[in-house]
Amino acid sequence: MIIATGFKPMSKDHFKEYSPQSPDVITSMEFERILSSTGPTGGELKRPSDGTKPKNIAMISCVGSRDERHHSYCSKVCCMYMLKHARILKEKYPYINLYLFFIDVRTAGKDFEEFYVYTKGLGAKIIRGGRVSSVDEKPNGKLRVRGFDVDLGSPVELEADLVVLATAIEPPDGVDELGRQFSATCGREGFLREVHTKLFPVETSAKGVLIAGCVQGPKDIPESIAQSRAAAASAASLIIPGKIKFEAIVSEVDKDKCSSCGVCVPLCPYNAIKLETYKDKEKAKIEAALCAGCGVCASACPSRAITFHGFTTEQILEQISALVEA
Amino acid sequence: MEESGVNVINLNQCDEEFIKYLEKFGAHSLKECIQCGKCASTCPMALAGLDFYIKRIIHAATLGLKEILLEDSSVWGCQSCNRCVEVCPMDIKPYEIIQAVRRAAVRDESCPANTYEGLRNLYKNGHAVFPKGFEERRKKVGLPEKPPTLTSHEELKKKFQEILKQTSLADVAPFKLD
Repeated sequence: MIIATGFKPMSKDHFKEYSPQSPDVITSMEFERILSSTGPTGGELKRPSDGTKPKNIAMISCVGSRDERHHSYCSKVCCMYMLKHARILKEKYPYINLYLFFIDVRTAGKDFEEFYVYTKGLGAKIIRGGRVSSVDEKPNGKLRVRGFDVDLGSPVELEADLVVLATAIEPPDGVDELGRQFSATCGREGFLREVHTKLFPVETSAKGVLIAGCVQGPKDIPESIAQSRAAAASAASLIIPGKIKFEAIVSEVDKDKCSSCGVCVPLCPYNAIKLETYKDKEKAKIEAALCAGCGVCASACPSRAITFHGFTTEQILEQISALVEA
Repeated sequence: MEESGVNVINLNQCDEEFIKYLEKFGAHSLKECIQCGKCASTCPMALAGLDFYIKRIIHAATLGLKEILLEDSSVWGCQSCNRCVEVCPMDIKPYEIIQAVRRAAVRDESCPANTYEGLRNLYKNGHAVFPKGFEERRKKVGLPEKPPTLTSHEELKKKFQEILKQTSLADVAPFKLD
């Protein structure tokens, strides 16, 4: 099973300081549609409010990202797609004044810095250290953008016709519920969590449930493709041998001792326990291939019918008495 | 950097023609500056505490802030040491940008008065620096009244002036070249 739900771009409505009620304040996703030849304007650049051509455009980065009120993480792709939009605009409409407001420009990686320098060369104006504090609607229908330019060491102001917000990448709605159904855990930010950042980057806490793309965290297209191929290879390596190896440290039920109370079934975080008929009674059965060896069932079983191999009650009691004697 | 008492720079005053002018007259790769600040960390004028040092001058130039750049006299503080050119990782030649801004300033007649005095001296005497009353001081230490340069050679000076008349000094000089 591979979970690859993708992401959700944040809505502009969260940012009251940027006048989200104005039709001329749009998100990058909406701007992408305006630029697209199959979009609502047929690829023609227009202000959503009155259909006129914008002359001054401001783009604002880190809207909702790197912000403890919304998402503490960096959405990673915004710097690059802002520059992509800038490049498309400046190549198509060189007379447009384009201002890009960055906290700092994060163009890490092969060819990305070159893309940045190229876009600067086209005449896109970069304002650093200046996340915009406010966008206000003016009586003349334009938008006043207030920022700070760390390179000039001064507050700056701009009257813009169009403001584009590079809103954060968010986990899609319901991904936590989906994760619960497959026993895959979510991290603090709501993305599904990998078992280990370096050693098991596509595996989740549930065996055989793999993740790929933005459901794991913000990432760009090449990374998503690399990760999805890794997930496909991991899935194949589980299926192709025809057999599954599992850990020796798993729990097992002594069905003759089991009182059929069923307490262990909802407790198991990995959905490894179910009840099945044994000598005309419903008894617990642990699927060893799914058991992750956490020991919750063994400690909860009122009849002591569950043995946790490697950590039996006798073994633990022995350890305790050895400690007490020492 | 002040504007009507409030210290906010209005980015709408961007002058694209000014940027094109600078690019034409020396600042060829102006827009490629990534504002790393390496030039400013070695610039003697930045070390001396000038407000508008090289890095800021370049940034203001990329933003086309002509008024701000020409109103400030910092570009004339450059000592032409060329350290910035040596250290610049983007090879944009910051000193050339200073020179381009100076050229724009001269064309716009917005340079400090002593700049014009230097130009006038260069044309009239063949020296940009020409302090008054130097003849007396030279005589005192037993030197000929005039130094053995253009100043002492009327004919050569005429030729030099003929050459200057053919340069763009003829367009920009706020005095008559006669």
